[in-house]
Amino acid sequence: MTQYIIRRLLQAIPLLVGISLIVFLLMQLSPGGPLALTEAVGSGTRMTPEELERLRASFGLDAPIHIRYIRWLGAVLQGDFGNSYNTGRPALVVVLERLPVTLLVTLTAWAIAIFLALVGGILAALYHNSVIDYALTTTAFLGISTPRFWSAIMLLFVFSYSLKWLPAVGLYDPRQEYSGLAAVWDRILHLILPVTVMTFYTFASLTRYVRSSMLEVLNSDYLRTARAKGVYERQVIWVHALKNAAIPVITVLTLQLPHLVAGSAIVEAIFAIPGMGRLYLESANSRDYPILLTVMMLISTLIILSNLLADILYGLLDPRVRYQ
Amino acid sequence: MTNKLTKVMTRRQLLKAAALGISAAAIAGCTPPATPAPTLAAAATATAVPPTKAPEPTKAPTTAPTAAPTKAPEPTKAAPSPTATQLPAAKGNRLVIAVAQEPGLVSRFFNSQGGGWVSFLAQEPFIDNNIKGEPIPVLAAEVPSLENGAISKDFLTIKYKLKPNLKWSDGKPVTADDLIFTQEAYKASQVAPNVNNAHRLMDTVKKVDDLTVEVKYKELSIDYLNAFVWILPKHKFDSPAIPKDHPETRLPTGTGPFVFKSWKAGDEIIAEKNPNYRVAGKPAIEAVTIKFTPDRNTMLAALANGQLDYIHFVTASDMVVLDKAKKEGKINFETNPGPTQIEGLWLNQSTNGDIKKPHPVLSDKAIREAMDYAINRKEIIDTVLGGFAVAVSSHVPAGWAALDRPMTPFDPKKANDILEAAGWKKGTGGIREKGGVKASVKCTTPTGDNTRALYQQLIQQYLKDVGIEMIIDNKPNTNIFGGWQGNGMLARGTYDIIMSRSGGGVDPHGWLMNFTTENIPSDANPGGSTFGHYSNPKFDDLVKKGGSTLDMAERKKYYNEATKLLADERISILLYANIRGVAYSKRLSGVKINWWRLESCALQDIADWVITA
Repeated sequence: MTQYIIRRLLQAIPLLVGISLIVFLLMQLSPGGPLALTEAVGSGTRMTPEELERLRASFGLDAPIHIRYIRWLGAVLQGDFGNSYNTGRPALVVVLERLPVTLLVTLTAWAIAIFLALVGGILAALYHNSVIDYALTTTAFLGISTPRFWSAIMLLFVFSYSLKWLPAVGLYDPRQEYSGLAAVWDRILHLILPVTVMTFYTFASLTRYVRSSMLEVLNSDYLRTARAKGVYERQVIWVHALKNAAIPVITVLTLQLPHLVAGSAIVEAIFAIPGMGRLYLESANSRDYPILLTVMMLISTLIILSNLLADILYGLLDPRVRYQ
Repeated sequence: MTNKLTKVMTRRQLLKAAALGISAAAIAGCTPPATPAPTLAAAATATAVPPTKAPEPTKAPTTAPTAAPTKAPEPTKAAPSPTATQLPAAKGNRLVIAVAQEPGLVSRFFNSQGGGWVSFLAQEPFIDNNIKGEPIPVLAAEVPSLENGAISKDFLTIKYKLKPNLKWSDGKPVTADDLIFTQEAYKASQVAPNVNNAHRLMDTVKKVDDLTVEVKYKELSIDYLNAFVWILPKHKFDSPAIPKDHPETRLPTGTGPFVFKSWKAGDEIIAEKNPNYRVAGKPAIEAVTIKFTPDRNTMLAALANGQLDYIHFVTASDMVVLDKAKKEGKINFETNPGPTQIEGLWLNQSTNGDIKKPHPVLSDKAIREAMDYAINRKEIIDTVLGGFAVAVSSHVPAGWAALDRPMTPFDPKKANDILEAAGWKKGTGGIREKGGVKASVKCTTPTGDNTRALYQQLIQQYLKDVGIEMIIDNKPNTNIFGGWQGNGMLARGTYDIIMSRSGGGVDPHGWLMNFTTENIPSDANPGGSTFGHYSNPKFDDLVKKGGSTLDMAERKKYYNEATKLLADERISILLYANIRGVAYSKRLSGVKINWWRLESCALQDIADWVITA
């Protein structure tokens, strides 16, 4: 097992280098650039060619693209992800200081979504074709088909603009200095809307998987055997059935983790949450290459690790799966 | 049996552990080796502790290394009621401003891109403009002029004098040495400064006394009022070769009403009242939080529920919604026509940029005049723009050099008559022709702007009604404005009509230069810019004369004549000018619009704002 993990991690290295090459090229060959605004005619900030050159050289954009890539890769291998064009600060520091906030929002939403999806999916499977089942399936379809930005704006309109119940911006009240429980409550108030939006979507896609794999498992022979030998129904459902139903769910669950981090960009932008997703959006607008590359590499790593995690979990859940 | 059971247990435990540990593994795994330990620890706390858990010793902000400074004792704080000791203490009367985009660097001295407006809280210009476009001294003791003797007879030597007893926010005096240092920094800084023409043309800066410098210019600079627009505090720097990571580039020390305290990346900038502000008793507001809020809907919702006090930079497309919110009594919203940015049809006078070959259709004055009469500006403004724009009659509609001129009325009959008289006869499909040339032109505007696309179609219809065919051929921004080297259509002259927005500042010179022959881009002049490849020696001469004296009355005369020429010749069809709007919370008052401050608009007068509730 350990060997397997080590091998997979080693395999990830060339994969990451490949990803970095593609990402680097796509990014730098796309039209526009960090200086596009400064160079544009009529931008109001007319710089002389010498001043522009000075700026370009300070970004390291004066070299041809392959040299730039090699320089970048060399620096990254030494742990230097370059400096942001916008702020001049080290890209890795900038990205990592935004990561905790993203994780706070996404993992809270993820945890709530998993809980709700498990309960909902199991209930829907147990009471198959009942009102509960229909209600949950409908909710799930609504959740999947509603774009997150739309539900976010609707929630804002109702709870912030019209009712004035919940804050719309940020993660805490800038006008008050809270401590203790009041600070926690303030934080919860600010998290309600963004977490709801994120939870809704994840819950919706997960609950369908839980429901269908539970349905499959509930009719299997070993559950009948378990019941026959007198195991409590609760244990049958939550231990015997859920464990076997969990295998396909785990795939979705783990693969959604990096997706969540990347997908939080919209929610972060709308609710003005200082997370990594929003950093990515804003850096994309201003073509802040060092930041973009750092975020992309971080998300790529996250995807590779989630895949590995999914594979390891299979092995734990299903004795038939063995890794060498 | 027991063996099997333990195995199952182990597996179950593992499963539980895995479920809990997914997050931790993900974080630990994806953190590159160079990560400093504290960040990791912070990340772990953020994930492991859901917000519902017991009170955390580390407070709300998860990342901030900068949160501490705001904790300074506040004497003005209202005493909390004795019974509610747990209740939060108020942070004084704090103003919360929303801005869509976080600036890279705050200091206006270095920030040539958007977002530098934040610096107005702490940095003040030497000379500013009032709403009429007239210069007013801010840090200057007086505006240099010929009358007060600060400008020499040959216009090349100008004395700049500071107000006495000015202090930087840290209490150090502002002196002539700071002015001299500022010019040195323009030349030597390692961070590309936001250089303006006045400083480019400076030859020497000499100290006259503690408050006065004498600047010798290499050549006459009409931008002399922009000199020292941002002054650097010399005592904060080791040398004028300012390094990239100097803290003053991010949060500058200035003389303004507020002092920057901290900047939490991606979230907010915090500023507090400057105890050394030059006006006694101001500002009335204790502290300011600038909250980066990218989404416009969120800004509005937060303004309505009282979370925010002021929205920085209201765009034309926000105004309809803001006006509705105002009518519902949720926010304050005011507008003021600030005709500085003009939306126009720039008519190409050349064939593919060759000014020796006049444009087959658009070089005919009858066509241009007919277009001017054919377009119903009122309908565009009222229906498409929701009334939030003003019609303008000249290229310089406001300021000290404004040309007051009657509007061209909407009169399609007159347009038709003009074309008939000029020999443009209706041909196939109702399109006019003259000498085998069809009155058919392409109109290009940047793709992706839905509002523009709407009135572009209206214009197409207006022109069709008088027999001119306008084919819509929109292109991405970079194709149009790519400059000479980037093969931009506007610079190369490879278009018939481009519809875009542009305009001048208080001084019309730079804007009018865009219509002179010498400024037309070419291999020899790749940095030039033109809006229509117009070439008229008479116009060139007038603009040149306007730029070769510092006598304001003289300059106004020349620019008025030049502007009148553009209008009479109908070199561009001016559609409308943007108006300025400010949106703020019900508890804020004293907000005034000054449209000349393109970026800061009302914010520059923040010292006068009052929080009433």
